Amino acid sequence: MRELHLDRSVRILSHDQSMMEAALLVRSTRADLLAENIANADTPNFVQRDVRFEAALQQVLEQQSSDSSVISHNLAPENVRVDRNDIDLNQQLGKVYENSLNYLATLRLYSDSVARLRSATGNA
Amino acid sequence: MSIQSILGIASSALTAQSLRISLIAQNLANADSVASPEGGPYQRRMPVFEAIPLQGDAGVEGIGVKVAAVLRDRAPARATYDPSNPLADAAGNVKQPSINPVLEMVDMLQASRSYEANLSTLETARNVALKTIELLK
Repeated sequence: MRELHLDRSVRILSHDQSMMEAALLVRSTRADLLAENIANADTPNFVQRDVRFEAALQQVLEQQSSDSSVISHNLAPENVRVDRNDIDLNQQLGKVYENSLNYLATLRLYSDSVARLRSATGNA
Repeated sequence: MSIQSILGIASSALTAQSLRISLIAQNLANADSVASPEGGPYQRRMPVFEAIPLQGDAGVEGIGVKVAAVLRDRAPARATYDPSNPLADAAGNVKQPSINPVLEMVDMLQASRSYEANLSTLETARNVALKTIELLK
């Protein structure tokens, strides 16, 4: 009976962890796309891209092969300039900070969860 | 965080933007150059930015940017009347480069703004990577 309990709690922890791992993966992909947008802020015809977070998370959790449906294009048609580029540096920098904060928060939760698992198994 | 690809992407942009700034410096320095190796007055140079896929060990690692070409301004040379100049033509006109210093300065501000944005991306990626490495402690 006791063993069963332990088994269940470990499974709960590992479910949380796989969720957090997926979130970290999506956040790091998003960081790549945002870096690309900033690098190409002055490139003619370059259209910004971003990840639709929830759809991408779902895809990673269900272990589907990633497809391009979670990446959205042309997010700011009102920003398009004469050179057919729609990137606003300030907006992108804001997104970079938001994304990295969320990444760090998830990372903190993840490391706490690992520490809890360790102390539960007596390896703290 | 795929720190390598962000490093690659942002540094390609730093390279491109600094080339842009050096072309601006070249244009400003030659605002009064009436002679050039190609003959005629100096022609304003401008970079053409192009998005390029960056090749890494595991295929494409993000989309960077590069200066695909450096083009010359096709605007006609500005003619100033200066008959005593040895380069003056029969009518006494000397061809001057058509460079607008205000335009160059505005372009330079934009280039340095873009450069800083990429630096700050690099810094954010670095901080996040350091925090991730701390997990190994």
